[in-house]
Order: sequence, then C-alpha cells, then structure tokens
Amino acid sequence: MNREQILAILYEMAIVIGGETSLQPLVAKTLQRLLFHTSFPCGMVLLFPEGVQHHDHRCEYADIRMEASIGDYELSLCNGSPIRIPTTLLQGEAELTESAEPLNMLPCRKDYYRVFLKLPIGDCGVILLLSPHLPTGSLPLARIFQPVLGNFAKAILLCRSNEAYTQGIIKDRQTAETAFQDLNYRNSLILDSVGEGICGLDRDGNATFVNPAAAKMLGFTPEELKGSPLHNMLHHRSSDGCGLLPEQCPITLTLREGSYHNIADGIFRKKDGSDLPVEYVSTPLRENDAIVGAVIVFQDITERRQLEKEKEALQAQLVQSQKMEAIGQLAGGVAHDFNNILTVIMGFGDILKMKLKSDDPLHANVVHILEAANRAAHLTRSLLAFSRKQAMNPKPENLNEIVRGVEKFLRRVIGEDIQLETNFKEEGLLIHADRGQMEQVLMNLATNARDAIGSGGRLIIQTESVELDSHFIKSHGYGRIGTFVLISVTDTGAGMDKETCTKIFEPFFTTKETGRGTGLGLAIVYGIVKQHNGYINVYSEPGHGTTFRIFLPLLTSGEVAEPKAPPPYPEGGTETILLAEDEPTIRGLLASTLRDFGYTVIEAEDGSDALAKFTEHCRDIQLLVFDVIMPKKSGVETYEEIRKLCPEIKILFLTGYTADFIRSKGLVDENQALLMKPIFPVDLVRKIEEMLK
Amino acid sequence: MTTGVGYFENNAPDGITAVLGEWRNQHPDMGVLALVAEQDRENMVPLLQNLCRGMGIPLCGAVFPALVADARFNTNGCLLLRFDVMPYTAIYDSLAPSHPMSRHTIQRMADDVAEHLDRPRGGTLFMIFDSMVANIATILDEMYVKLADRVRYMGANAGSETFQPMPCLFDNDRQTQNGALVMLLPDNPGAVTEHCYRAPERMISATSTDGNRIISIDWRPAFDVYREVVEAEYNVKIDRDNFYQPAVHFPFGIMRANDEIIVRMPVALEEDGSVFCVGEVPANAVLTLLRAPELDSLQTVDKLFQGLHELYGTLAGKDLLTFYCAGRRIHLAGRAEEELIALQKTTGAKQVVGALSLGEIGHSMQWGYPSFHNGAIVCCTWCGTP
Repeated sequence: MNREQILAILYEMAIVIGGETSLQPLVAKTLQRLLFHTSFPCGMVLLFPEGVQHHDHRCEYADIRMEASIGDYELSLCNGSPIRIPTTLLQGEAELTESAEPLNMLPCRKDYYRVFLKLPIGDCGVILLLSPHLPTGSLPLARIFQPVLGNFAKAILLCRSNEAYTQGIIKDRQTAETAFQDLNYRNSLILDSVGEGICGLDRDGNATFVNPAAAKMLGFTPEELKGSPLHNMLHHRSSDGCGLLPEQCPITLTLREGSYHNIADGIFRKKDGSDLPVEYVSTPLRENDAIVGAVIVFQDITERRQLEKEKEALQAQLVQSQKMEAIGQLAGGVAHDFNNILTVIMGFGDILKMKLKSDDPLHANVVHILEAANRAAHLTRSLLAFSRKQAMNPKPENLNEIVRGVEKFLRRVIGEDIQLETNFKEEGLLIHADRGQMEQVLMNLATNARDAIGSGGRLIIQTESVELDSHFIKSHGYGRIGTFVLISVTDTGAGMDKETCTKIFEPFFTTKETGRGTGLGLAIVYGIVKQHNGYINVYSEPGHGTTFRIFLPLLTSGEVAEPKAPPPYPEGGTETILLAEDEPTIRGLLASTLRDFGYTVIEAEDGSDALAKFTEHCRDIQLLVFDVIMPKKSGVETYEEIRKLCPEIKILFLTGYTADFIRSKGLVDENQALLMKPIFPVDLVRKIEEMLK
Repeated sequence: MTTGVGYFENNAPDGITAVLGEWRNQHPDMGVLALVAEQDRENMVPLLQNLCRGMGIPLCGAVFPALVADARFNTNGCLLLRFDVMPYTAIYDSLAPSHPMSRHTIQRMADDVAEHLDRPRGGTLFMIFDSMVANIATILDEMYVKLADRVRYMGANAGSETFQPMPCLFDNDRQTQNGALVMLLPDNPGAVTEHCYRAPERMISATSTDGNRIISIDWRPAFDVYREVVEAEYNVKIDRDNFYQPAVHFPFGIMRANDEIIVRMPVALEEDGSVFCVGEVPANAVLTLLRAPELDSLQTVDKLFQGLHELYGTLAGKDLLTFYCAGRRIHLAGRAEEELIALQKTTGAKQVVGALSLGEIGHSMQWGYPSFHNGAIVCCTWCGTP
C-alpha cells in the first residue's frame, strides 16, 4: 500500500470523525472504521470522565469509562460503564503488542485475545483493538492512524462541549416545558372543574376545546364535539322556539364581527334531542387584532327557571291568601256588628213571641220576623265561618264516619238524577275537627256539584291518607311536610275556566243566576278548611268536571267522642247579676230575659259605670256578665279591677267575635266563661244557671 | 447436527416426495433449506411449499441464478438441504432502506437471534438476502454491534442475475422479496470466504455515494473516472453500451489498511454517470479498480482449502456447501467450473453443492467482523461439526 492509499484511508477517517457532533456516534463510527481497516474483530473506546484528563501514573490501575465497544459480547455488556484497567494500557505511545497479560483484567472474552493495538487519544483516553493473533498486513497500524487520533481527541472535546451546551438548552427547554405543562395542567384542572360549560371555537365555528362540564350538560363526549361545527351540532335556536340561521346566531356574529354577546335565555340542543335552557356568553378570541375564534361560556338554567316558576306559583298563592284574608276580615267585621243587631231583633222577637198568645193575629208576624232573623243569623255565621271567626268545637273525629253520616242527607240534596259514590280507600282516618263544620263542608260542596251538574251525572267523594313532601309543597305552592287525609270531591259537571277557579272561594262570588246562590258556600268551605289548619285546591276544566281536594292533618291517636244528649230547659234563679253592655238595646234585651227567669239585674252602660255599680252593690252581686269590648273601660279591664276588690267574683264575658278570636288575642283567659253573640236567651240563662250552681 | 443433501434437476414431484418421505421417516423433526434455480422458480417453489405443507415439514429457501451440484453450475431444478432438526429460522421483509420499517426490522432481526441464542457464544448465523436490498453492509454492521462475537456470520445473496426484482425468499406459506432469510445453525463452525482479486497501485476516492450507488469519484462523475482508469490500467475501452460485460473483470475494490480488499461489482449505469454496485460503498472510501484472478490461478482454491482445513480439519467425504459469485463466473467463464472441480479435488470433499450468488457474506477472521463481498466464494461443510 503506497502513501496515496494511506492518505486516502486517513482522509476517509477524518471525514467520519469530522462529520459527527455527538459523542456516541463519533466514537462508534470511528471504532467501526478502525475495525474495518485493521480487521481486528473487537475494539473499545475508553474515555476519562469529562474534566479528568490525567490518571495517576504511579498507580497500577486506572478507572475509566467504556464509551463504546464492538465485537465482544462480554465487553458490550459494560458499554457506558466505568471499568478498571492496567495503567500500562493507558500509558505510552501507540503500540501493537502481542501480550495476553494486560488483557486479563479487561471484562472481555477470557483467554482468547493475545494481541492489542493501543491507540491513545490525546488526554481523553485510549482506543484498544483486540485480536487473537497478529494482523497479516504490512502497514504499521500503530502509527498509520496517528494523524487522525489528534483530530479524534479534539472531536471528543468538541462533542462533549456541544453536548453540554445542548444539554443546557434541553434542560432549559425541559424546565420551560415543565412550567408550561404545569400551567397547562393547572389551567385544564380549572377548566375541568368549573361548573360552567366552556367551548372554544375556531374561525369556522368548529369546536376546538370542550370542557367536561359542557360535554356533560350537552350529553356528548368531548371527542364527539371536538372538530364539529357547534352551531349545527347544538342546532342553535332562540328561546321562543324559532330556529336560528347561522347569520342570526349570536355566536356566528361573534366569529364574524368580533362582537360580545350575553344571552340570558338561550336554548341548546342536547345529544338526545331535548332542549337545554342556557344562559351563555360569546366572546371573540383575537390574535394580533384578528378574530381567530370564539369562546362560549354557558350554564344550565333549567333549575333557575323551575325556581322562577315555583316562585311565581308561591307569589300567586300568597296574593290569593292575602286577598282571602282581607275579604275574611271585612266579612268578619260586618258580621260582628250584624250580630249585635240580630241579638236585639231575635231577643225582643223571642220575648214578644213568648208574650203573645198563639191565636193572637200578631203572632204569625212575630214568627216571620224571627225566621228572617234566623236566616240573617245563619248568613252571619257563614261569613264568620269564612273569616274563621266562627266558634269551633274540634274533637278527634273519624272522617269516613262523618261522610257516612251525611251521605243520606247529601243524596237528598243532590237529587235522584245525580249518582253519589263514596270511595273510602282507607279506614280509621282520624282528624281533629268540628264535626258540624265538616258536615257543612260536604253539604256545600255537594250543593255546588249539584248546581254544576244540572241533571244526570256523578258526585264522587273519596278519602285517603297522603304524605305531603317538599316536592309537593314546591310544585303546589302550599302545604307543609307531614301526613294528611285527603278528601276529594269530584263532580262530572260543567267545569270551570282558570279565572273562575281563582275566584271560586271569594265570598259572594257566584256563577249562578241572581237569587239562586248566596256566593258564600265555597267561601265557607274555604274558611272551615283553613280553620282546621288544612288546605283546599280546585282542579277544573270547562266540560270536564271539577275536583276539590281538601287536605286535613291526620291524627295519629285519639278517641272519637259519642254525641251528647241535648241539655235540659233552664229553670233560672234568684241571684243578683251585674250586666255591663254598651249597646242599650242588647243590654235591655239581656236584662229583660234574665229578670224573666227570676234574676235580679243591675245594669251598667260601660266599664266605668259597672265598676261604680259593683262598688255600690258588692255585697249583693254574685255574677258579672260583661261585654268584652266596651268604650271607656273594656269588660276585661273592669273585671280585673273588681277582682282586686273581690277575688272570688264570677264573670261571664259576651262578645260579637268568636271565642277563639278573643282568646287568641289574649283578652279572655282560658278558664273564664265566654258566650258569642247573637245570644239566644235560653242559652244565656243555661250558662248562668251552670255558673251559679 | 447431521444433514443431508439432494439435488433434483427437474420438478418431478415423485422423486422429491420420495426423498422427503424417506428423510422424515428417519428424522421426524427435520426441516429443509431449498435452493431453487431462477429458471424453475415459478413451478418449483409452489411445488415444494405444497409438498412440505402436506408432509408437515418446515421449509425455507431462496432462489438463485443457478445451482451448484457435482461441482457444476445448473440452471434448473432445486437443491434440498436437510436439517435433522430444524434450527431457528425466520424470514424478514421490509428491509429495503426506503421502507419506513427498515431500521425497526434490522433491530428486530438482531433481537430475535439474540433471544434464540442458548449460550453466550456459538453457532453460525446463516443469512440469505434478496440482492435487491441495497444496504446489506450497514445491516451487517448493526447486527455485529448487537450480536458481536456471539455467532459467526456467513451468507449469500439470492435473486436474479438480471437484477430484476422478484420474490426470491420463501417458506412453507409465502414468497417474499426485499428481505432476508435468517437461520441460526447451532453447531456450525462457520465458513471461509475468499476472492483473490488484486489491487493495482492507483487509488481513487468515492467522493460521493448513496448506499450502493457511486455518484462521483475524485469529485467527477463516477463512470467517467471508471472508464479512464480501466483504459489507463488495463487498456480496455468501456462505453455505456458495453458497460456490464467488461465491468465484471474490473470491479471496484474498497481498500482496508490491513491490505485486505472488499470487492464491489459494478452492475448498472445511470444517465448521470452514477454506477450501481452490488453492495454499499461508504462515502470517501478508498477505491481501486481490481484486477480479477487470473484464469489459470488456483490461488483462491488454495486459500479456501487452508481456511477450511483450519476450521474443519479433513474434509474428506464431506459435502461442501458453496456460494459462488455470479460476477466471478462471468469473469472466469468456463474456468469457473474448473475452479469448483479443483475445490472438490483439493479439499477431498464428497461433493460440492450450492448456488451461484449475487453477493457473499463472511469474515476474514473467525468470530470477527462480518463483511459483505462480491466476486467471492463462500464455503462451509454441510455435515455438522468435524
């Protein structure tokens, strides 16, 4: 081989060495070319760690890193690892040596290699090529590669420096990437966690981002939405149900014009085709002032809408209650005054009737007066019942027994053309009720049904127990949580429209022709139900009949009382009674009645007068009969002062209001006797007789 | 491992069936390596596949331009080489450098072989490549980096002498191309490879290459330089029309510092003056235009004998599996068969069998670096350890 050949080989080696910028390929390819040219079967590149360029020549061994090896299986297992080698393999010039001894320490195939070619690489390390026998060529292999080994050493330093620099860049980039990923992660955590739906759109309206909340609300997976045109997918339309063309769609406008839109009542279409009421904000995404997309943030307002509906229902219910309350107070007030008047008419009428002989020509007139007064009293009681100021005697009652009790009477009320059906779904339904008032409710509803049906139809009364829960209360706007009995009274009559239903319980509201109805029937029902802490509602549609539903609290225990026998006729007495009543006619009536029954009556026109009269006749007076409300000094105040003088004195209060009302105002003690006007003379005498016993 | 050999000049199934049946009776776990002549590929390969499938015999094989039997070249028939126990065999395709899975496949080949090695070192990795795979030298480099001296390396290239693509590798079920057939012969002591091409003094440099294509030599179009050097060194005129015929006599040689030469046979010419070789030429490789062995030289046979003797001792009575370079045969013409006969006579082998190959794989030193050669003869025995 001539000089030209050697130079050509060195040129090829130099090109290989100069063509690499990373350490591993540099050493591997250089080693490969050396093995190719020398025909050595095995070789290795051993390098000192970076920054350590000299070993201690006094030591027998040196630690060095096996950067690369080719051709020996055992040796290849040490690639990249530090190994310990005799320093003789590191020291000195390049050499081709036939000696197995220094090779014994190498982690290579044992007892096989006998020749090594040592090629020092400047201060970096050494290349060792191993062979079982001396090569056959004529070239001085130990020297031939010398010129390129210097280049190889420089290339190693350059690659290391390059790699350190690259590592620095990679590390910086990794740090930046980690920070970026961390930021991304935190951002995605936020986007994944928020309850609002968030969709990113590209310029064409295709979804580029969908957060889990958006996908969940719409019933899609994020993957189903990504890349899809959102307008088409969600079939965007307005809340009035009209379809929205893309050019009308606020989101499209955002994409086209960069405008911001906040839509309070939008509709998106869910995957299952159902509507999703939403409030959404459409905001343009800009990059260098150019619109590159939009972001849509929306929330499901289904619940909000439901709450608004419930609030509206509650509001209507409240208005209705307040209206009924106001009407009740008005009716109650009128009835109170009316009662005073009736007390006079009925009282004097009754006395007149007692004093006239039955064959007296005026007797019939008096009877007519009393009958009219009775009807007026009935009307007054009705008004009081509606206004919940009617006297009430509640006891544990069996609801089904009440219905059964009036069933016969109801049949008579509704007539033969209307069929009455009762359906008791459960037995033993106990309520705390005034039996008479409950009968009144059923009577009034039956009368109402009869008038609605006309001729030929059905009236169905059904009883059962029901649980009222929060859902019922929310959806109906009334009620409270607990177990109730439900009385449903259904007729197959003409039914009513919605407006009529809203006024049906108002007093004097009637759809009947003039003179046929008082307009108080259902008002009384309403009042009685309310007085029993119950609820009533009506469901009706024109042509489809009407159902009244009455909810009354279910009694879980209690005994139903047996009906009492009527009390005996009073005999009267001889005691002295102080009677205080500001209304002269009533006072005269009551005094006259009591005297007729043998009592001595001292009359007072108000509280102050009563106090004076008592002081004057205190030794004689056994009973006080005071009107509760009187000018100057009320009956209650007067009594309190008299009691200080005479603690044992007995008192009977009279009032035009109901006993419950007076007691609820704290005017009269629970233990004190109270009678409600209009007062029949017999009842008054019976009460006094009972108190003076 | 014991083996057997059978050559079938025509594709008469009865004779093949009878031999396979007899072999299988004696060796139930046997397998077959089939070398098929290119001319009979279309009939012979399906026939062998059907027969072996039917008899449950594992089969692998390759197609070569001609077969070697009785120390002669035969362009017909098939040569069946029996393994008493079928060794690890695999066919890989998608090895062409342009294939996206090429690097992965090379890695897989090495991994698969390593996985089937049952000891740290031993056996021979016998490889038959499709000659259309242009980067065989690189593949061998990568195999050596991975497998190192755990195996010996030997092999040959299959395909058509016209270098037209064809499915030249097969097993029981498929024929494929652009790949390699790999066999791990557990007890085989390896092969000897020799060519004895000689280098003249003048050196040139492959200043630009791309795989097996030399684009420029000494910074000029490769063909221009090649033509000038051939004329100057050997007084032979070459032009574009007669390129291939004289080129086989003057192949490129890649020079190594230990005086060894890797032969690269030029086989095709491009419009731009690029020259295609069988096998890669590294960029900046030192080249020379080799002088082919003299027609009456037995130097190669002598070297082969020495190498085989060192490996096997006496070869008397043994079958000699031989892959003989197709370019070498063109160069030597009728003397090529004389070289085979001389080989048989010198070694004392019972018979010389094998194929005309389009590239040869071997190493200059046992357990050493594998090289991809042209113009060479690869020899090993086919009867197990000596």
